[in-house]
Amino acid sequence: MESPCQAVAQLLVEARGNLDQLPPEARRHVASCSACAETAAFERRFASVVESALPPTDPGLEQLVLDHLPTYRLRRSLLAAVPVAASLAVITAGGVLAGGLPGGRLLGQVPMVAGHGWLHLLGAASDWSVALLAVTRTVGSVLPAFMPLAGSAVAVLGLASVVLAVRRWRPGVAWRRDD
Amino acid sequence: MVRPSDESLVALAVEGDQAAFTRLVRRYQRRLTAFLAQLVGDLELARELAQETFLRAWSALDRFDPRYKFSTWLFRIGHNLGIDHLRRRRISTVPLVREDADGEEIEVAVADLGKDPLEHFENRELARELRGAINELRPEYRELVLLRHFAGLSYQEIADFKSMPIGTVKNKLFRAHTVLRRALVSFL
Repeated sequence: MESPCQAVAQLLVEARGNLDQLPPEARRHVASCSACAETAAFERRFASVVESALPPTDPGLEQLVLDHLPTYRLRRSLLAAVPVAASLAVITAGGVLAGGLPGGRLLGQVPMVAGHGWLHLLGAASDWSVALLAVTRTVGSVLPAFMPLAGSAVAVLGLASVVLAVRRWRPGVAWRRDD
Repeated sequence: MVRPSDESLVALAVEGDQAAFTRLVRRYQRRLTAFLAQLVGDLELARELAQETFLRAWSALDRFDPRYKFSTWLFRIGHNLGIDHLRRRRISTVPLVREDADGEEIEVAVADLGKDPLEHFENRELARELRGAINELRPEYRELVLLRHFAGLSYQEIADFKSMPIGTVKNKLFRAHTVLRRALVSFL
């Protein structure tokens, strides 16, 4: 069981030795107990020493913060956009490497290919399994066989780069309660 | 003149009021710098980290949850920055084997930059003893002492910061003070 002195000592630590912050009963105990009176005196001295050990206010720091406030949010926003830009760059590079983005040649075929695909889909819309098969065939007829694989790989790479970049350049520290 | 609360200043700062945020900087910079100086072991570095902490807080204010105290959130950002810095720089630490209040041997590790975060403190001998006594605490006690005495957080704020029951905070700080008193009894 906790002794009265230990309970009072806990209160003294919490109050930094300031008797005014103790409940009346604890204050009376300190007045009649030399050990607790010593504890109170130590806590007051410790608090006082730590207080005087704090570094002085640095007006330069306040000014530095103030100077950077207008641009800081913008800079952080730009940094936050880096992973997105990196991901797009990787996807584009992957597409070019896979031969999927050769400029106008493929883009020029888009309307025709899209129309072709829609016709395939409309024709098979009454039956979902057939529709899915049609989608697969449509994709297969439009893209070379390695393209879906290359696309998947690029998507995974892009996602990985986003995750890595976000871990490296966190736009800010979100509130969290746990460590 | 009524001192505006943190909550009211934060509300203004969220709207982009830089003057309100500057008042928060003024209010917390000394405690934050002191806390970081003890954490990273270097006052100048602590000032840089304090600056970065305030700027990060400014840029993340729109994500601040007003159900919690601004001070706890600010010190959390500073603490994360300090720890990240120590990890990134792989600051060398000095392993010390000490006996804790229960007589058990414990190993503590403290940042060793060859610098003194209490360099501004005039009483050199007391500064050395104070730093030594704090550094020799168990890491879990040491952090609570820094949060209580250097950061100036209340027990409830520390409990929020550490996601720890307030009773545990009280017990650990009491034990930490028992150890500190034993170490500093001839100086204080």
